[in-house]
Amino acid sequence: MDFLKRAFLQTTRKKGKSLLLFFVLLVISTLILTCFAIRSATDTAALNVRESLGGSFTLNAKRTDGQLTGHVLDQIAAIPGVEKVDNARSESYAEYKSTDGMSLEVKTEGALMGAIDGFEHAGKLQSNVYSEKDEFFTDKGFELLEGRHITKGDENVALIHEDFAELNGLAVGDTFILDLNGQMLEIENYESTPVTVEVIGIYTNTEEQEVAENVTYTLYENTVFTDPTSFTQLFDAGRETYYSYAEVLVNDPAKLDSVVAEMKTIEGVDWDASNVTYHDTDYQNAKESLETLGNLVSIAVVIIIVVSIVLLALILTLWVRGRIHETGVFMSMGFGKVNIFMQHVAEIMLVAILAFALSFATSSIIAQNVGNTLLEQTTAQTEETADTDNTETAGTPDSTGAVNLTELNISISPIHLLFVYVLGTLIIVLSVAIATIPIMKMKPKEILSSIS
Amino acid sequence: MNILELKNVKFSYQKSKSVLKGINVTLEKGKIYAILGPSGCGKTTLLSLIGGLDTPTSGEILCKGENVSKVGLANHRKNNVAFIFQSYNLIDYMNPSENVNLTSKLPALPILEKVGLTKDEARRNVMKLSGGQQQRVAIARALASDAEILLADEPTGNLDEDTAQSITELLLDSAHGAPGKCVIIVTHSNELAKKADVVFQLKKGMLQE
Repeated sequence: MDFLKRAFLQTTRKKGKSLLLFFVLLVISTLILTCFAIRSATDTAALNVRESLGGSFTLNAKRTDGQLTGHVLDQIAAIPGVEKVDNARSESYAEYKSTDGMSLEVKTEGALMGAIDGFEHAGKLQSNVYSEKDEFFTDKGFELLEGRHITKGDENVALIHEDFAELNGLAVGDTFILDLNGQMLEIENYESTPVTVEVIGIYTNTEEQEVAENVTYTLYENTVFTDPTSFTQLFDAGRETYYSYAEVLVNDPAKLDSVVAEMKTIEGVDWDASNVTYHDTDYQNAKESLETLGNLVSIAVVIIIVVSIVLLALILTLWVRGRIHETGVFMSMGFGKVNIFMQHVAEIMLVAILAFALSFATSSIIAQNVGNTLLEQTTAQTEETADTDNTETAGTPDSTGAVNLTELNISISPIHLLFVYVLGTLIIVLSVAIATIPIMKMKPKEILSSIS
Repeated sequence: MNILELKNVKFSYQKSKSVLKGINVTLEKGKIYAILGPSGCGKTTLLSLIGGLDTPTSGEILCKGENVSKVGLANHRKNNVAFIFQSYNLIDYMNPSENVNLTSKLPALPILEKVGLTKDEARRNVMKLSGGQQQRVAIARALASDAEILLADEPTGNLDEDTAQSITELLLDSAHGAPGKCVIIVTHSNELAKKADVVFQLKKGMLQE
C-alpha cells in the first residue's frame, strides 16, 4: 500500500485528530494570509503616499564649468524613477546695449554701493527653458504684465522689467543686445558673442526687494530673463547649450538616494563640483508612520511564522510520538524511513489543502479589521511623536507634520494564497521533520522494544 | 531447501554483556522451528537479528545465500521476512482487509477467510475484533506477503487455549502447506513447541537442538 493511501486512511478514519489539526492549520494559515495581505496593502499604500507626496532635488552644477548640458539632462530624465527634469536654468550677468551699440540705462537707486566698474550698464541675467518656473516668478512675486513667458524652443528672446523698459523706451517686439565686457570676462578661453534678443514679455515685481542690494546689477529692475541658447552663445558660442541648475522630480521620494547615485554615474560631469539639495520634507514627515506600520507587519509575520512552526512541531511531535507503534510496525514490514516520513507529510497536507483554502475566506473577513487596528495604532503613535517633535521644533518652516496614510485597502489575492500554500508546505515539512527525526534515528528493534 | 544460515552470530548490548555467543544454524523452507528458553536469554534478540531489525555484533546472517547486511536490512525485511507479534501490531485505522493489503496487492478476503474471518469481520474496525481474531489478521498479513520466512514472537501468548490451538494450526499449515514457508517461532509454550519440526533451546547465548 503506498503512502498516499495510508495517509488518506489515517486522515479519514482519525476524524477527531484530523479536525483538531484542521483548526490549528486554519488558524495558522488565516494569520499568515492576513499578514501577507496587510503587508501587501501596506506596501501599496506606502507607495501611493510616497508617489502622492512626490520628491525632487535641485542639482546645482554652477561650478562644473558648463558640463550640465541638455544631453546630460536627457540622460538624467531617462533614469528609472525620474518623473521629469524641470526648470533647467542658469544665472549670471550681462551688459545691455541697444542694437546700435549704445549702452542701455539701468536703475541705480536702492543699491548701496552703486555701480561698480564694468557693471554700469549691466544686470542679472537669468536663463530658463520655462521662465514661469523661475523662483522669481514662483516665490518672489514677479508677475508678467504683457507679452508671454519664455518656453522650450525659444531662442534670442528676453523678458525685461517694466522700469527697465520705460527707462530705455523698450516695448514687446523691440530688440536689444546682451553683451559682456572685459571686466566681466575673467575666465580664459571663452568666446563671448553678443546676442541680440527680442523682448517677448515685460514683468514687474509685486514684492519689494527685502534688503537693499550692494550693487546695481543685482536689483530686480535690472534683471533680464533669456533662453538657454542665448545664454550659452553669450558666454561661449562654441559650446553645447548648458545649465547651472535643474530640478529633478522623482516618482518615489524613497528612491531619491538611488536616483542621485545613478545620476552620478553619468559621464562628462564633475559630480564632485556639483551639489544636490533634496526637497522631500513631506515624505520625511510621513516616513515614520510608513516605516512603523511596515515594521509592525513584518514583526507580526515573523512572529506568526515562528509560532506556527513551534506550535505545529509541538503538536506533530506529540502526534508522531503517539504513533511510534505504527512506525515500528511499518519499519518491520520493510517500509523505508522516507516512505513513512512522506506519509506523515501527506496526512498533514491533505488536511492543510482544505484548511488553506478555507483561510482565504476567513482571512478576508478579519484582514480589514486587523489592518485598520494596526493603522490606528500606527497613526496614534506617530501623532504622539509628531506632537512631541512639534513642541521641540516649533516654527520650523518645512515641517508640516502631515501623516498621509489614512486607510488600507486590503484584499486577499490568489497570489497571497499561493504564498500560503508554499510557505505552509515548507512549515509542515519542517515541522514533520523536527517531530519525526528522533524516531527515524531509532532502529526498528528499539521502536518495537519500546512498544512491547 | 536451505533458506537461512547463521554463521557464528554474536550479539552484545554492552561489551561486558554478551547475549548471543556464536550461533551457527541452517534453516530450511517448509519447516517450523521453535526457539525455547528462559526470559531474557536472547530469543527475541535472535529473532530480531534474523528479521533484520538489528545487526549482529559479529558473524553473518545469510538469506538465500546473500548476507542480509549487504542486501540492506530494510530490503531484507521487505522481501524476505514477515513478523507476527505477540501484541498483534495491527494498524488501528485500517480494517482487516487494509491491514492485509499493507504487504500485498492480492485480494485480502480469501486470505482472511482462510485464517477464519468472515466477510463482515474483514471490513470491521480492527480494534473491535477479539484478540484471537486480531492475531488471525496478523497471520493473514504475514501470509499475504511474499516473504518466505515467517517470524513469530510469542504468537499465542495472549490467547486462550482454543484460540491458541487454531493459531498454531495456521502456522503449521503455512510451513507444511504450499508454498511452504520457513516458520520460526519464539515461545514459552511447550504445547506449541511440540508441534514444531525442530526445537531449539537457547541457553547461555548458545543454540542447542
